[in-house]
Amino acid sequence: MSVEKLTIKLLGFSAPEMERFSAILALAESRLQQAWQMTTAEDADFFLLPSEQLKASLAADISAARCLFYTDDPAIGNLILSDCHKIPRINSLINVLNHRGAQKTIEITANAEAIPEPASPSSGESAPPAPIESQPAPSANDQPADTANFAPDHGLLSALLEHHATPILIKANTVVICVDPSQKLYYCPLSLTQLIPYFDPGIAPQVKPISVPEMQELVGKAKLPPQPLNNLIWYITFKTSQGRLLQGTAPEDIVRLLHWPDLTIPECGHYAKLAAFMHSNTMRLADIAKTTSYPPASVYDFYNACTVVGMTEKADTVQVHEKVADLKQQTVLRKIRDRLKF
Amino acid sequence: MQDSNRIKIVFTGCVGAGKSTAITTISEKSVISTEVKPSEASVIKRKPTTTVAMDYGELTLEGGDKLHLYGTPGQRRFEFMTDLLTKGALGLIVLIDNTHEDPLDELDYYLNLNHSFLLQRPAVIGVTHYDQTIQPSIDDYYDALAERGDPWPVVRADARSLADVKLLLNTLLAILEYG
Repeated sequence: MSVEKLTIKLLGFSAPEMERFSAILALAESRLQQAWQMTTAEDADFFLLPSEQLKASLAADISAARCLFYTDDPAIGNLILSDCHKIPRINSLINVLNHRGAQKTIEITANAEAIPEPASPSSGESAPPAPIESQPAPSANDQPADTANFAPDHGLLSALLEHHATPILIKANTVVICVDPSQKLYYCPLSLTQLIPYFDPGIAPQVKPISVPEMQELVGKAKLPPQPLNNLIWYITFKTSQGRLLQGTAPEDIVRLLHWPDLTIPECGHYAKLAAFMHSNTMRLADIAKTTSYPPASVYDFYNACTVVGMTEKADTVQVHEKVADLKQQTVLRKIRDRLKF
Repeated sequence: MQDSNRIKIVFTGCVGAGKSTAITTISEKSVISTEVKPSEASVIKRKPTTTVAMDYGELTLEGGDKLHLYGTPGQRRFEFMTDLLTKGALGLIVLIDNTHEDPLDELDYYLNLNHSFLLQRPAVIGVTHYDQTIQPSIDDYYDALAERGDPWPVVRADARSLADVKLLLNTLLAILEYG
């Protein structure tokens, strides 16, 4: 007996954070052992909270067994790992939800065993309940191992990176994207964040070449504005890297950012400091994380995305632009940043 | 005015790019604006009024300090104001209207105008009205900057959007801190 559908309610999250969680949950759907659904009902199976500190104020009357938390500490198991903007890591989400889903199955199975079968009205004896095999909790070895490196050779990303001389139509599940490679533009009715579920590497898109007049008619009828193709490629790479470094790259590689990414791409604006640092300094990837205090996984996601669109280069020597520490200016900058609440 | 003690950021750029609008969007109090009907022919056909001296807005910081936001006038005959306004500033936001006849020429002009300031302080290029035309593209702006040897980031921005104006300012802070 297994639970097939589980509900989860988010407490203490902003609307954009809930939207991101929903998108990652959709992306993880094919690898989850149960069907998980977000709900606003009070009787949800599980509750997700930003941190344990908030549990007391937000979910005091809910048992800890039904609570899941975010953490940015990879050493803590059974919690959902996230980046600093509370975006769950897909593999972490899958591991935690599958584990909790299995526990729920065991709990329901155990409860079912404890309830005796009602006596048959036609006889004075009650038949013993049939034994039910309990589901073992999945061990860490059962979870799919993280691929060590990220390869942009899957799904929608692969289709976009292939060289095409003429416009193409890409169909990924229900979404259609028109690409004009010569102008480096794409046309799509969905925004970048709405496209997240279609970034799933398991989706095999269909690619169909079309003529320029066909493309113009198509986008004209739908009144779709042109968007920079590199922004789409950047964002898919950023979202699907999941903290893994690009194939052929090592943390010891010395790299530099040649070109700023488009900071208006969703979430990219939060990497302005990293972009500024990598644009001014040539440094080992591992050392960039230590110096800027961005988590290594975030540095790798950002680096991969910039590299795939040709914005980075590797170097032989480290070159650091030594900034003279100006404590007064640093205080001013902190105050401005706090005021902007960016 | 003791510029060395003032915490200030200056918005500059061509007429109609959105300098006054950007300051109005971010300022916590009513913006002081010095506007008149334009006299330059190139301006008359773009806007009914234009800034003659400067725009001023502010944000209050922790501890009571103020971040002063200044907008330079767009008409070229007031370019002498630029040196006065940028003196002691943390950095420059250069706004370029992408629907201008020659946006890249305008970019060149404002970077040349502020050349001395930019030897010591950073800039962020904000491209406005990009929804109305995507030519020149952001890549074209970067090509123009590369020809000049300038490392500044280029950010699409709507001066009416608080999020976009914050992004411009935050990018400037990022360069000040890490660039």
